[in-house]
Amino acid sequence: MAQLKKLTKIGWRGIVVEVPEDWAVASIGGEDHPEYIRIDDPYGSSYVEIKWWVRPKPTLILEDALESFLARIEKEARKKKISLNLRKKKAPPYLERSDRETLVFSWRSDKKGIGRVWYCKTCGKIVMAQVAGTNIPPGASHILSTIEDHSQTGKNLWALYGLQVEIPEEFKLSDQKLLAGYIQLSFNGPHKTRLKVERYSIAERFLAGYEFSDWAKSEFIKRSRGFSLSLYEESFRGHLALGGKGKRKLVGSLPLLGEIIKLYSWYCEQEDKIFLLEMRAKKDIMIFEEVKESIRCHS
Amino acid sequence: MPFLRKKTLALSKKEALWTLPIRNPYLEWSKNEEGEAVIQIPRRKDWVGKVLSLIFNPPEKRQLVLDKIGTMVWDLADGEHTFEEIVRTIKKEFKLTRREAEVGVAAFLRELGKRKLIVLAVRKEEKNEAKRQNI
Repeated sequence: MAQLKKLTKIGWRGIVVEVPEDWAVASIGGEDHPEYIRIDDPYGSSYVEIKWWVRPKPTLILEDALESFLARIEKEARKKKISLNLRKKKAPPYLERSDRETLVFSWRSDKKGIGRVWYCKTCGKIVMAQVAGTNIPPGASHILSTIEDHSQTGKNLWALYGLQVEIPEEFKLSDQKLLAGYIQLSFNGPHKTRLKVERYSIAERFLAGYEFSDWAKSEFIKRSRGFSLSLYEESFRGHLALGGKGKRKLVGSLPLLGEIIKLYSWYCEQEDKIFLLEMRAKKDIMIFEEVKESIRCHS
Repeated sequence: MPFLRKKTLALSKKEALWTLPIRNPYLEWSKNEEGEAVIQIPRRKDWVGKVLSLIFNPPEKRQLVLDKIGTMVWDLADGEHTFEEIVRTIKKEFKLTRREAEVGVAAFLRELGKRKLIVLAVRKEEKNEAKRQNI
């Protein structure tokens, strides 16, 4: 099998795929069905496209899903007045997995693509994936075989632009900010738990000459208005970290039963990045620590 | 009206990576004590500039101070480095992902381009090189 450069994982809404290290997410679909992600190589010559139905209608069958997808490619070719060569077949035995029902396809026009569409018997998703472009990489088929449509651990991997974090499956993405230099993923979980994972690149620019602990303190204070917050400093993976925990206050600093806030931030000097985690919940749960431990900051 | 629209040069992503950002040679610029690039931007000389100067009496030149990253991009925009090379340098220097560096540099150059502080040049041979290497 043709070898690819070093691979990295991209994880989004329960789908995980391994792509060459310098490929990056170029487009993501909303909460509409189907969900969608496209990952491009740095030169715009090839890409991976994944489309998936989390809860497909019982009437949706693999062939139909594939047909509608290929119809788009046919339409594009017609528009450009170029010939299109399409092939589709049942997956050969070496591609078969016991938990999947798979069809494979390939096409060639001014670009070319190879892909697979399958129904996962474990999670019920229908997933369609293809590697396409003017110059598809030699290990395209390997990329397709790395796609996982459900987690084995009960936690989804969210990984893009170098950020990697594992979030329990029951937490749903509520908001995202994917900016150059700043990433924020917000999740809503059971019992009105809200979780936010943030990463600041080029931390030096955000610190603007301040010490990390001062920056983090002022950030925590801003975020915990209405809470009585107690702070602590510690070392986390060899980095200086600041944590904060508090309860919502009604009058002065009198703590009342109710919502709690947890904050944690550390500065990874090796990568010049600041990570910040925020959780608001009705009760203190262990998830916060688990999520914190799952974040990869430097290799 | 469509026929009056300015024609813009449409570049593919591959070609865009091979463009050469070049600083406007008519601009004066220097570095301050912090090593940041300070660009002197002259007042507009067209009729809009003349009208505005009658109303607001702005100074002849205004300064634009670039931050550390901006200065590095500005330094590299010497017509010798391609967009691709600038992205690679910024990625390495500031420990960014390829995408972060690319988006950041592109947005910054676009902004400088709008203000006519830089231009993007495409060399024929580099365009062919991009095709040859099929990237």
